[in-house]
Order: sequence, then C-alpha cells, then structure tokens
Amino acid sequence: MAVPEAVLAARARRAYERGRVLSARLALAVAAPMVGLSLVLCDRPLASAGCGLALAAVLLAAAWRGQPFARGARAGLLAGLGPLLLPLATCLHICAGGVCLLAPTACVVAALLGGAALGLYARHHINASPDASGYLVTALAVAALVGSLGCVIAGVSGIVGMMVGLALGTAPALWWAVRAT
Amino acid sequence: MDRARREALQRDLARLADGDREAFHPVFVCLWPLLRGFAGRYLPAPDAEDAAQEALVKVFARAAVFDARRDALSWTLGIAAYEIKTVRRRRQRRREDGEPCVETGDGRAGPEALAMAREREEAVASALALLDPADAATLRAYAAGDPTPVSGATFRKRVQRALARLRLAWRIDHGRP
Repeated sequence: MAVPEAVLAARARRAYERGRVLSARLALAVAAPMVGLSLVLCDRPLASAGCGLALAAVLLAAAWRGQPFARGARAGLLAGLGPLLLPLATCLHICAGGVCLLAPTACVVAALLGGAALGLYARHHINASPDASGYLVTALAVAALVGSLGCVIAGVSGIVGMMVGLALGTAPALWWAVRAT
Repeated sequence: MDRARREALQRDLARLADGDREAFHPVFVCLWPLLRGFAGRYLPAPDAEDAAQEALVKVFARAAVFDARRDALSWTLGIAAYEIKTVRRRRQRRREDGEPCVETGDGRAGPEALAMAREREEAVASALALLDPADAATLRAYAAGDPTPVSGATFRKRVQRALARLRLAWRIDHGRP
C-alpha cells in the first residue's frame, strides 16, 4: 500500500535508530566476559556489577551516538584490557604478611601503559579532528570502567590509582600534540 | 544509476554507518525511487510498493553495520532482492492456499483492483497492437481457449514465440516484464 513519503521516512528513521542501538551488541558481547571475570575473581560482586552496568550503559550510548563516540568506545575497550587483567593476575600471588601493594601497583602500571597507548593512538589518528574531545572522553570513560572491573580487587585505592594512571599515561602524548599545533 | 550518484550513495551510506545523521536524507532520497523501480521490475504494483518499503526500512535498520569497504549499491539491492523473493514466496503460498490476491472483504473486487485490472487490460491490448497480427490472433485464440486450426504442438510453439515477443514489447513499453 502506498504511504506518504514523510511517513515512510519517519519509519526508516526509527528503524535506523533502532539499528544503531542494536549495533552495540558486539561491544556488549566483548564486555560481558570482562564483567564475568570480575564477578568471579574479585570477590566484590556489588562493585563489579555496578561497574559492569555503567560500562554497558556507556557502550550502548556510544554505539547509538556513533562517530567519534563509537570509535572512542572501541579504543577504550582495548586500552582498559591491561588494567583489567594485570590486577586480576595478582590473585595468584600470595603475600607473606604486612601490607601487600602488588594489586594497586599493578593497577597504576597497567593504567599508565594503557593510557599511553590510547594517547599515542589518538595523537596519530584524530590529531586534527574536531571530534577529538568526544573520542577521548569516551575512550577514557570506557577504559576507566573496564579497568575498574579488574582494579576492584585492590579496593577504592586501586580504582583511584588506575584512573590517575590512565590520565597521566594519556596526557604527555596529547600535550605534545596540542603543543605542536 | 550513473557513476556520480553511485559514488555519492557509497559516501553517504558510509557516513550513515558511522552515525552521521545528516546523511539520512540524501540516502533516503537516493534509495527510495531506486528500490521502488527495482521492486517494480519483478512484482506487480501493490506488492512492489510494499516490498520496496520493507526493503528501504531494512536497509536503514542495517545501515549501522554497513561495511564501507563493500559496494553500497550491491548491498542495498541484495537486501531488496531478498525482500522481493520473500513477497514472491508469500504470493505463491497465497495462490497455493487458493486465497484471492486482491479482493474486498465481501468477495467482490474493490474499485482499486478493478481500476488496476482495467489498466492492465489496456496495457495488454496496447502491447498486442504492437505485435504481428498473426501473433496477436494466436494469443487471443489461446486466451479465449478457441479450437486451434493447427496441431497442438505447433500451436503451443506459436503461443510460446508470440508470448516472447509480447514480453519484449511490454518491457520496451512499460519497463517491466
């Protein structure tokens, strides 16, 4: 049956927006095992679930919005892998008394590396783009949330240390780029 | 579709896949007539319109996952072709179930169906007028079920040839088989 073009355009628009939300499936499928790992290994289910939900919400919003936000979310998932996995690997370590700083240290070191990688990538790929801020904010937010899933094991200090590490790791490459332009 | 429009579609669909909403309108304006024409080549008018609409909506629903390395036109027409196939299969099932294709609820053909049937008859008559008189007479005799002056096999062959010429004339005149 023939329908007015405006009605058809509205229907197509709704389908497109729905499709954009559904395009987050891949990112969510990647994030799901990360949350599972955190729930199983970190022994803080509430914090892990909270970080997981926040991560899912950011990934969904970024995929729906698209453009630099979606690209930033993908980069953030990669940059957050270090701070997620390295602290979890310290589960295998046994401290012989006293205060063990291995997990928080792992959080900071991995975040520094992840942040540096993110900064370098951003410097090379989105240097002159006006979308740079959207890309970076999303990438850092996703990396921080992914990292939090692992750094939950070291408590609040681990998460704060990881966030500082990410910021410090990203800053030099970006500062250099800004200075060069 | 010319090369420039094809490249524009490729560019706009890639932008749409990336999330650039400003590319929505150019893609819509380019695709709607294209899909309507494409469906019109393989389906009768009301079904073609439905299939084109469904195909268009599906193209936009999947636009977010369109891979910009692929050819946009082929990708779009692939979706439309699948939709046309689905509509054809549905029509085939309807015919097998003995359901009337276009009828009103009380069993009589509606005014739209009558007008379409009249339009179709006129189009067939004008296509027949383009044929050789012998071909036209063969097809009329075949349609009316009149007794054949020649043997069955010869008559079938003549009908086959006349139909092929009619299809050709129809395609030239109406742009669809």
